[in-house]
Amino acid sequence: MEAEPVLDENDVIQIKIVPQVVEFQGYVDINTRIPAGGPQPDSSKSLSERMVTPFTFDAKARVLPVFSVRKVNASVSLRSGQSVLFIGLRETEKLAPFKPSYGGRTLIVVMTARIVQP
Amino acid sequence: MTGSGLTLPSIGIAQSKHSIRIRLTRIGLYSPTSLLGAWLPASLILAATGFGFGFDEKKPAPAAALESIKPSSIGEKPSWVRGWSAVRVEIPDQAKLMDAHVTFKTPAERLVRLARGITSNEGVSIDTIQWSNEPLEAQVIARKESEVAKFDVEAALVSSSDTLKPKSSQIEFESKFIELSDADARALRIPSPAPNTVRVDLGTLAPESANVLYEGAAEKLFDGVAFTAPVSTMSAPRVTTRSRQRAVIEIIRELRYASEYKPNPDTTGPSGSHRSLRSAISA
Repeated sequence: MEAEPVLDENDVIQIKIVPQVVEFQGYVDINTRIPAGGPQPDSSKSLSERMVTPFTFDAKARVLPVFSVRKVNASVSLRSGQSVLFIGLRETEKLAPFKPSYGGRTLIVVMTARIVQP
Repeated sequence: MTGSGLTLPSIGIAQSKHSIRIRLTRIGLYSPTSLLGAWLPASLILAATGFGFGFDEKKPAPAAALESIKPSSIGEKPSWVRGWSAVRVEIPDQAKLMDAHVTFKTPAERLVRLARGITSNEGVSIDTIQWSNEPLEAQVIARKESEVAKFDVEAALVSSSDTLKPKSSQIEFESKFIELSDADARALRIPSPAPNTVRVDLGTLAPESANVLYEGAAEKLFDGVAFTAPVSTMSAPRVTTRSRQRAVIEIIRELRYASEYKPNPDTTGPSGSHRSLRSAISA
């Protein structure tokens, strides 16, 4: 997440925020362009749980990882101590050749800005 | 500030350990029986010449400024206020001018720091310190027993208004990342939004702009998350930056995967061909 604040004379913090989620989707066989094993969609498990699940590849497969990138550009004005909340960074669209999403899970990002004196 | 006991009035404005540049134009001292009192014109530039310097009350005044101060006739004043001189004006928060303090130096070299409603160790209480802006003006009414003294302070602001902000102000960002199921999100009254939107209905937690939370509302939200949902991912990285300086927060999971394939035809066997893989780390 990138954040560039500008503090004005009224102690209002104007922030340009770019939250971004880069999520591992799995492996694809570069020859057949179909998923080649790896963490599978399972809404009952978190991504970290899926990542540690053992998996195997076909010995003839040549696989590469696939990542999805979801990014939001936003500008907000906050006073010190206030927060901005982002919801909706979850995957909703089908990413070929994968089946839709690890689905059913929502990412919430809350960012609080405070003016501090060194 | 009598003719015999005149001490040089010097005024600076301190704000969060930083001073701003002002030009003192005049200081008036009144007693209840002499409302006109005496005006002491001065053209004195005090305080720091830029950021990063605190007010230096020991800094000697320019000789030219000393010579320019010619007290005129002084009316009757309470004896306890004679010889007082304002040495410092502090405005802790420009947005709350009534919180200003004025420090006087007595002939006995004692510093008396006065603010609204505060009784000093000199037995003096202050009725009010009224400030206006552009130019800065203060009216200080001090009381001791039944006697009243009124000070008027006027100073012209030299520095521009944006320099009132201490240059060292920093902004701290605290981010929390939570992943939870849609069902748990609904239990928290967080509706599933359209893709890539930031709008959410949080009821009383948020002001009119629905995606901005009042101070303390984020903590309530996290309390609700902790009690309602099995949180799969929660971290709270913090980063501090300055105004107009970009900050980056990254939460990275290292993922090891094969990035290059180097076929080795010599290692074929009954189980099929083998490939030696060279892995690289990526996120």
